[in-house]
Amino acid sequence: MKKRILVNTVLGNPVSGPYIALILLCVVASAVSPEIFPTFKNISNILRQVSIVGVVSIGMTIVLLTGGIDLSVTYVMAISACVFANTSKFFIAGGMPNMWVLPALCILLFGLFIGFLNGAMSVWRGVEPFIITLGMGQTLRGFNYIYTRGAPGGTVTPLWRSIGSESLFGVIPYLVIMFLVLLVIFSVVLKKTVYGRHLYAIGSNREAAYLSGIKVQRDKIIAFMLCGMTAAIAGIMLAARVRVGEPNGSTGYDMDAIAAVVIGGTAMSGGVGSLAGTVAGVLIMAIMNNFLNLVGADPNLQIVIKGLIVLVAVLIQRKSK
Amino acid sequence: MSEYCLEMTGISKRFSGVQALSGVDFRVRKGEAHALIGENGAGKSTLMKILAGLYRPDRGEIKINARQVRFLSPQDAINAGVASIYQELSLVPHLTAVQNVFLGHEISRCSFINLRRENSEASKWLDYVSRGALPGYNIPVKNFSVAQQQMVDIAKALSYNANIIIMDEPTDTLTDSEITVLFEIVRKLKADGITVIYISHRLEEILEICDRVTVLRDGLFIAEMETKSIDRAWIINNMIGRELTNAYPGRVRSSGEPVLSVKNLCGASFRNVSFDLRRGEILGFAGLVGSGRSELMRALFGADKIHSGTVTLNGRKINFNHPQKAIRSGIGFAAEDRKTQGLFLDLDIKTNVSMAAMGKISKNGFISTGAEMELAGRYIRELLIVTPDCRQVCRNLSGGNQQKVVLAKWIANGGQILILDEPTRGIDVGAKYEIYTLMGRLVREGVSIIMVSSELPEIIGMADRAVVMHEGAVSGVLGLDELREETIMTCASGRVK
Repeated sequence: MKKRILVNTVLGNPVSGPYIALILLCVVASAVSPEIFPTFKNISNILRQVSIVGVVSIGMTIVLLTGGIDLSVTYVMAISACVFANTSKFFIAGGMPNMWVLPALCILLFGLFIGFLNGAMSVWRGVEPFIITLGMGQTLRGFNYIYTRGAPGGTVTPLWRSIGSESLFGVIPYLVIMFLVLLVIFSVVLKKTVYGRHLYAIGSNREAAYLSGIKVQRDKIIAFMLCGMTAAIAGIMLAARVRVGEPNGSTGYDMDAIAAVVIGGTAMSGGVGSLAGTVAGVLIMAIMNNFLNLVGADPNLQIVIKGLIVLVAVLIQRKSK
Repeated sequence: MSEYCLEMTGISKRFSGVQALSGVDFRVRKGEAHALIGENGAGKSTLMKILAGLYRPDRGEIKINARQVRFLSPQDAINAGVASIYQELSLVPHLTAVQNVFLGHEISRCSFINLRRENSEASKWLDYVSRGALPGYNIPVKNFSVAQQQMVDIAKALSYNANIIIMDEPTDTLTDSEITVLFEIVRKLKADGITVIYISHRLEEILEICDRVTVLRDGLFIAEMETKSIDRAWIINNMIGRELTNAYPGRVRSSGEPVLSVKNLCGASFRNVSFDLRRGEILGFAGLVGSGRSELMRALFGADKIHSGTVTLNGRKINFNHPQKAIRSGIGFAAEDRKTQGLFLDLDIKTNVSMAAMGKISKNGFISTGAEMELAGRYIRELLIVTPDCRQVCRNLSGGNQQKVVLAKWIANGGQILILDEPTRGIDVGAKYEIYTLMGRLVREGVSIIMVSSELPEIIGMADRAVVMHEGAVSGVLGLDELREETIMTCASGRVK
């Protein structure tokens, strides 16, 4: 009897679906490739890959929860990575290899500012965020090509070099730690603060939220700002990982993040979802990729499967609603 | 050939527990304007939706020109010559008048539209209806006035060769001169043998334009008469004519000094509204649907703009530009439609209940889950919300319980003034009584309640006084001794008291 209640609670929880899929995927991958998949090296490699798209997905989850979307994250990342690499190179050349705080802060402010523009334009002018952030993304992309002349450049400071490739006590990659810290912070924001509560309310029913005294416009703009900021952080992490500012290095991160959030059970219409689900979504995508690599599948098939996962996830959600 | 072009006999329809129609007869002669009248909820719209093919009746039969018909879809009704013109016109704003007329039955060959024929055919109908009152037939209809759009809608109905046209509250959004034009069209339709079924709350109009009336009440057929031989009083008596059952808890209260004074308030859908709300009273707001009551309440709550006039709360002049300010000043507002304006359907009960009381369960922006559970649990018990626990998602609750959750949100907020817009709409009798009891308890505790209601018995049974509105203006303020259906209806239909 008690067992049944436990089973029901587990199945009733909306994040159970993605996690069950994740566990199944791990079991299958371990069975098919027992020598490589479950090894420490492989897992920590997967986690390192996951951490950057995971950080983008945190911001994307927040925006999707309000019923919005942000298609400019890829280009916020790209500019952030290039600016960070170029300024680092400048300061290293100037004999100040530890001068990274100021550029990093400026990049965070830049992310917040782009988010503010995205949010303010879509909220104040009542335009779909889809099209606003699409236009913003293209604008940033163009600027970044002008700024970098389309070529990779710059480098990162020794500290960020080690953050990008080394691990704490040789066990947990530093990038993963950054992701986990952000994850904890934003989980608390979403689940424990009044602001987080308001985000769910706005996504669930905008009009009811307004009539409950919630500052809908302000809170939505802040959501976009947070998303811009996480994209900027992800840009810095990307630069740290590849040790260079690569204008095309972040291609595909926007779609991967949206896919991960949706696979994790967040509704595109807003109001339903959680960061716990998003983490599962990110892991499912990364492990599936890794698994297909291990079995030597055609890389193009990986793209097909990625797309199918998203379709299946969305169709399952619709059914259960 | 029968003398009736439409005969609906013994029509019954039941919606999950509510008998909307029971054995209703409705007969209409060819070429007449026939009024269908009744209070809100009497079953008029259900009957008309059955005639338009939107609902299927549980029992009863429909004959058109003495031939029995069964409508399985709106298309069937249209093919049988029945067209409807709703309050919200069914035009596509960005398409032109001609395109709208033939929307859904375009004149085409091999799916290419024959523009020339569409133009000439549409012009025929548009000419017939508008007689030059439209600025042009190839302009998007969004540039037309409401009255002009209505003409296009009528032309569209005629283009289907409709011989029965249902007009649902067609004059609600028209000015007086536009109404005159509409009536001319109706007379012309009658003269050409087209039948008009006319639904309206405006009794004068019915007496002026209609040949006969059918009255429904509580889903029953009440009477059918020639308009020549009846008057306003007859209509009102037949519409209301019900005995008040003991559906309301006793009234034990004494109201105090004014807490909220509204002076000459003007807004988008109301004008020159003045009234006082006293401490510990229930002030009813009666009037027809569309009389501006809900819009007035939204404006008082800071959700819509106020153009001019003053609002005084506890002797202090106030001007809310966001609901948050109204809430901080102790006003709560349970809006008309709980699903679209009140509830977060995908969120659980505790979240819904605490949404306007964040200050009570949080510190420095962090929510205390314990305090939240306690708050929700308290109101679930007090309001007898039927649910396994406070983590139940609101979508799964019954209408009555959903409404209780909305009320709990505002009681939890602790406001001293509650604005309840249609607090018992669409919920069952038992839950209604519980909500009335709750309202009684609140006013005894000194809370002041504004109750907007379209159900007269509710106003009479619950309110201490009632403000009646008509077309955005106050048409009467009635004391307890004047709260009778006749007086309220008289004010609501525009006779200023």
